[in-house]
Amino acid sequence: MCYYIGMSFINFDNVSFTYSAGTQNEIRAVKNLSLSIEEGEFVALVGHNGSGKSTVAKLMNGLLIPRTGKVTVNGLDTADKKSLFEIRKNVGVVFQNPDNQMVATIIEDDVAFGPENLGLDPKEIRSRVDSALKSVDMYDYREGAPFRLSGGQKQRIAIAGVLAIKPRVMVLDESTSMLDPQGKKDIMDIVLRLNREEKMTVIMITHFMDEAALADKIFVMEDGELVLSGGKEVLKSPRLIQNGLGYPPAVSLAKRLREGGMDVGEVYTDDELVEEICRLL
Amino acid sequence: MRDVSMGQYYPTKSIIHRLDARIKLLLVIAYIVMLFFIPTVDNYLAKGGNLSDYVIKASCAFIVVMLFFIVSILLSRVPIGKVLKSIKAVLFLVIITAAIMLFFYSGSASHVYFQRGIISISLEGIISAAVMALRLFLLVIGPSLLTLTTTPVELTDGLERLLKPLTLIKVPVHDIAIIMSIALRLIPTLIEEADKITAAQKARLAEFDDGNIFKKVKAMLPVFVPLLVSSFRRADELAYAMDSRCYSGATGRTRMKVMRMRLRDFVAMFVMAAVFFAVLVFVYDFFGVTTLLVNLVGIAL
Repeated sequence: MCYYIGMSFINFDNVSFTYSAGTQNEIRAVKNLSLSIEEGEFVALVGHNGSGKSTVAKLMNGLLIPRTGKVTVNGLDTADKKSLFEIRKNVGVVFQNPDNQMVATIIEDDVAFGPENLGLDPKEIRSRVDSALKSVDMYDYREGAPFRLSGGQKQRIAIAGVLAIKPRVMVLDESTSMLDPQGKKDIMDIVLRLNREEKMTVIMITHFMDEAALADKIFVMEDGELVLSGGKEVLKSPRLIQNGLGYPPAVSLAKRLREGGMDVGEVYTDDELVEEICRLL
Repeated sequence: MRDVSMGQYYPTKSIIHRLDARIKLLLVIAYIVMLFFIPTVDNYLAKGGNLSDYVIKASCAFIVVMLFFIVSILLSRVPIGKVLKSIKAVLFLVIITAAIMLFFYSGSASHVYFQRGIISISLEGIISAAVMALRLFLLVIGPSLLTLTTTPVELTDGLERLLKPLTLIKVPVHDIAIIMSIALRLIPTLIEEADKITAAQKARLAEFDDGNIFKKVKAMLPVFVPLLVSSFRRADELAYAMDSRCYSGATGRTRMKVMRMRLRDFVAMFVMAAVFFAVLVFVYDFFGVTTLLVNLVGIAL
């Protein structure tokens, strides 16, 4: 693999994972996957439903243990039960359905769940909860009940719940797929800010190519296998058309503009395209 | 939709609401125990007491308890109607018990007014019915003040901390508490989901309101099955989410909200102890207080 470097922060070494192994319903979700992610990167992992990308998310902090191969986080093996706590402190996961990841009936109690599990001092927990809630702009709701909130707001609470643990990596497992456009944009803004300003490693698992276009490094999965990986140039690969994921909207629009005779340069995101068009006008 | 997970909580921010949940739980237990210290008629007569003494002792004790209770309600600023509502559920039980006491009083009654077959109405029966009704009434209504002034979350929290010593004899207190709190958390989600499934089945022409009870139950089957399946899936995902947020049971876990006893908690305990003591004074004739009362009443009559 082109990005395989000795010891990265997260390292998948020839990992395979099978659900219900040994039964008739056996599903080989991940096949011989090797990849590595450095600290501070913004990574997108794209693929269709059933391509194994959510399994990869669960392999990243030891929720699932590979059948063959090895996953290491900061040098610690996820198959080693003793290091799981340390690994999960470093890698937080935000899941798809916000309703299924809330534990408490009061928002601040839910955000406090993680740091409480770490065994921190009550004062430290309080300050982490407050700053996490402020960071996702939900501080004013802290004493309310989660079920009155919109999907996007609930997902922001879920992000705060992960932030309060202060992980170095945040994995978002299709966290925007149940949200409306505004909710989606709010989450993406928060995630981008965390990556750019707080240097948090972000791993975005998604099938929305416009979200993938924001990443620095892109992995494409098909049928449990890694088929493409690399920088932004991956977003222009014809393979994306073949497997039906398609180009990010800005890339395909730029392509058509170019075909129409406009001299549009290399763009990936909507903002870049807007800039480019403004420059040409 | 009403917030089911809030139970019957009635928010007023009164001093009773702000009491430590642990203390409130203990006070309710003390209150219940206190009620049972007031003897029944049979019991008292069987020990060789006389009826007029009993009436004076019991009424003094009940007056103390009721005064205490009324003051608590006033302090809590919960409308009295809300508190009385809880009696509705057991009203039937109270009436039946009182009626049995009234018509079938079995002790040695000396003031019999009416007798035919096994039915007899006596003064002892009437008093014993009244005492029983009053006791049941106070028994049900006391804990309801607790649930009206404490959120279910505070209650589970309080219970967990109160029962913590039981972990020494391997009772999984924390696990029980977290199960309760997740159940509370999921109730509104599951209700919402049931509504959605019902609507989806209705859109496919399912009938839920027709036919007899068996048909209705059968019609609900297409709602229950998907609800059950999805709650298992939810449980699975929630377990992943909890695991990934470093959950590993009670060991090494701390809490953000520390329950700390305040002055008001100590005052509440002191008041409760005083009331309890007053009841004992009347019932057991400490310092000859009741004897004095009996004599005073005798003089007055």
